Amino acid sequence: MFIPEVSEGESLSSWMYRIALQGMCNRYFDASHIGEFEAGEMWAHATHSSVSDPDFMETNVKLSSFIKQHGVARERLAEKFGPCEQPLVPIKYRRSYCYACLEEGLKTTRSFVCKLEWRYLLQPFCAAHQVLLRDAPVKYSTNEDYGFRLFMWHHNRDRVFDRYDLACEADSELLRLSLDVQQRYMDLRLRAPHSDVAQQMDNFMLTLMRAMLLPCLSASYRNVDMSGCGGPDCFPKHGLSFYVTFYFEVYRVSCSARARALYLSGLLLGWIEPSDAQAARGRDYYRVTDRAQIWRTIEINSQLGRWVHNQLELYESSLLSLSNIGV
Amino acid sequence: MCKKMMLTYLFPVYLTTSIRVSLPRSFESRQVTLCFVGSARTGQILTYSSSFGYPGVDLYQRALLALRAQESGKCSWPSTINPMVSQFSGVMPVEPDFSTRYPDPDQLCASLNWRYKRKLNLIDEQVFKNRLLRCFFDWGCDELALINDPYRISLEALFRILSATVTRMNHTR
Repeated sequence: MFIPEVSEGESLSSWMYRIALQGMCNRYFDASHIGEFEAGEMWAHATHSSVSDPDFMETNVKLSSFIKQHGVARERLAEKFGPCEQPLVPIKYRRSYCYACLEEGLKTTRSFVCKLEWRYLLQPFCAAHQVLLRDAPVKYSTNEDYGFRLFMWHHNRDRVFDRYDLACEADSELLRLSLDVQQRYMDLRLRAPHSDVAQQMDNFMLTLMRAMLLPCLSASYRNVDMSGCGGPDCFPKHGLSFYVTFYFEVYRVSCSARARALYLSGLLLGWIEPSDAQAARGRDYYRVTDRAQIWRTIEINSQLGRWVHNQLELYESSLLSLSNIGV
Repeated sequence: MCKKMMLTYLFPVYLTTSIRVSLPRSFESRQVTLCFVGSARTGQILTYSSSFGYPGVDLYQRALLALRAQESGKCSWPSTINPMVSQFSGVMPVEPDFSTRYPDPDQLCASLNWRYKRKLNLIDEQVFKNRLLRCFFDWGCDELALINDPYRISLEALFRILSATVTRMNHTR
């Protein structure tokens, strides 16, 4: 039986759906296949269905029946779809995509290929095409046919994309700087001596982005990040709970907002020169352009400043530490 | 011969979350008050209890009951804390009093009573609180998969968050 090759960077759910589309397992979406589960499996299916993430082997509830049907060795799958070491957007909040990647997938495989890297929290830009990822509505996030939904949505909502393109054009300098930050961080991450250090670095960078998304720095974000295609639910409930906002906001903000958080993190880390930031400011007069300004804004509330320092201190490593951000 | 008794002091830490929890089979949701009972010797959390928004529940006593049930083997708890539990023979009770004070949301406090504030002398209170807040709110993949609205979560999600909090507190720095 012919099983299509996995495209580069393709997610497990996307690959399994492509196989299902080719009619190789017609009952992929058929509820009756649940009757074929053994007692133990059935229980596992029932209890873990709510926490399933179809992009990973451990949490994909359809994987065991898939392996039974196609006789694919689990080890072979594990080679291609191993555990991910980068922080990810949870499956319920995934909505980013790169249209150029979708197009390429259509040309080469004649079906919709979704990449796992679209879910990487620290990469709001497509590494292959160097463009800011686009955002679809979050209601499609758990759909089996995620790629198809993205494609349909992309071609149905012209007005939103006009606005997206306008925003990208107006912010082209800022986006270029934050893309530089992303690439520089990825290069630095590759130099980590082992995975523990890489994980510490990810957590440090994620905490930095969380701090940059705090309400006190919201003047550095455009309105388009907070309404419209950037996501209407980005900043609706500030003040309701500081901790939930601090930890959770990064998962559901738009890619544009994450790119700006990355830009501010780059300023803090000294990876963006204040002169470059000034030059990129354009007519966005409220945008922060130097490190001291960020710390001043955060430390107006001394408790908040202490909290941010404590959080960053936890994830210090040899390659990224508080000394890098001028503390 | 008099056997020297070694006391392990237990301390409660209360947390009223700003997150609302949906009650099962109901459209109602409530802010829950949680009581974590920790060992002052090791800083590990031994047990916890929750009022699910009902006032007048003695959270500390409820948590101690759970601890005793766990010690006597009537209740299944992680085996890692069993040896520690068997060593404690004295407690330092701090009686909660909801009539005098209801705790502020997301503010950890060692006592619910204004007039009777115990200091946690044996561990660094501030460090402990910061760790607990981080462990409670920094949700992992399993918890995130259960959460649609982070400001209003299900009971199942709360239980998962609580057990993950205890695991993270006891097994990470």
